[in-house]
Amino acid sequence: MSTSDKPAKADDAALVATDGDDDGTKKKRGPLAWALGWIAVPGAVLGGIFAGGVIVGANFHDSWVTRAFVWIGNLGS
Amino acid sequence: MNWKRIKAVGKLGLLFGTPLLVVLGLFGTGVYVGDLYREPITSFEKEWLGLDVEVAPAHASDDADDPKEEETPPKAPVTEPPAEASEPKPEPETKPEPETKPEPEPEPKPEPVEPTPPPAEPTPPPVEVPPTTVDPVEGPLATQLATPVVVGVKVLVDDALVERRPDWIDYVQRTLSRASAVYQKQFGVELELVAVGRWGVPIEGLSSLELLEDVQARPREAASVVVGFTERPLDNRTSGKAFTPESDAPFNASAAVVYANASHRDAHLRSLLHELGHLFGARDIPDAAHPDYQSGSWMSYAPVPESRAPWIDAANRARILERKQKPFAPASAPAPAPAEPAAEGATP
Repeated sequence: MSTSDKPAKADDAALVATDGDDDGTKKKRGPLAWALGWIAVPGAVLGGIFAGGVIVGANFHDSWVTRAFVWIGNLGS
Repeated sequence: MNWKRIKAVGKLGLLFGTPLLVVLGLFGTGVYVGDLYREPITSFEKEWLGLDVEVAPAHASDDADDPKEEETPPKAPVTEPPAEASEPKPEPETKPEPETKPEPEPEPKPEPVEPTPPPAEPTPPPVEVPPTTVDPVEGPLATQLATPVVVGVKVLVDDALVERRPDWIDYVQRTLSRASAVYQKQFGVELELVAVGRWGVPIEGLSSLELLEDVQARPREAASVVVGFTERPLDNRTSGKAFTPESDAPFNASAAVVYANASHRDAHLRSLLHELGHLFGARDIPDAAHPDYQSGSWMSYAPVPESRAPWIDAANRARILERKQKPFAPASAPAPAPAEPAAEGATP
């Protein structure tokens, strides 16, 4: 019975010690990396999707895709 | 167990469905916006990105075109006459000129017409060709306007133009369809592109009259009219050349040469409107003091910016309307004497 408690505690300690990096130090990311990761890349991906839609809407306005989305859009108005 | 499975599937659906929904929503919003601002987007693609796309008419065209039509209230009367004229219409249609004409078989006297001087004025950057400005007509002219006529056109393109515009077939189609839109509104004449071909003619060294004779001699196939598009730039004297029938001639003329106006995006459009007008008997307006010149009729020599809607003076419009149902000179007809206004600067 008593043997089961100790190893558990040892595991907890190990978890705390290894949180972050292998050498135990937590790496701090700079603002540039943060902006790149949270703003630029997602912005480019989402912007690309939006721009793709714009191109489709402008150049294939007779296609069923465009008609469908325009119809949906017009439901609100 | 079953409940757990349902829960897991729900989580999975949520996990994949939410991002999918976001992406689809974003794309759909883009499509909606793209459709809404079609005209500026396509003109941006064409002018700034150099893409070969057809610039859409202002999006309003679906909705706001109507207001534009309404802007010219006189149009209403124009549409009335057709209804009234629908009864007498069959008469003019059943008594086509050709039936009576073949007997006399008078040789068509189209004469080479005056080249149009080029617009000397530097033109603004490319602008979408605006719809034509249509003046109201009444009486018999309104009846004529309401009578639809389709003219088959064959276009020949010289090597210089083919080299300059790799999309030359599209270019010809676009130019002719714009000209057709203008002619339909102004005269009730639809220009139908029957054939496009390369024009094996030297790209330098021939006068406009020689070019015209060359075009005239080419097989017309099923078309009524042959037009040669050349990349030759406008000089100070020539923007094109066409045969013009006399007012009492039984046939309309059937050949024209159109030069390029490099300062216009639609480099051949205005010259095409002009030269086609000659084929139907329209006359040049070379006098700069003439009010129609100053108003910028496309039959004048006035330098008109591309952004201005094509417009034709009343006298020439009446000439074209009166002659629009005449047959075109048969292909076998002898080439018109090139002697008359051979001089490039001559007035008709």
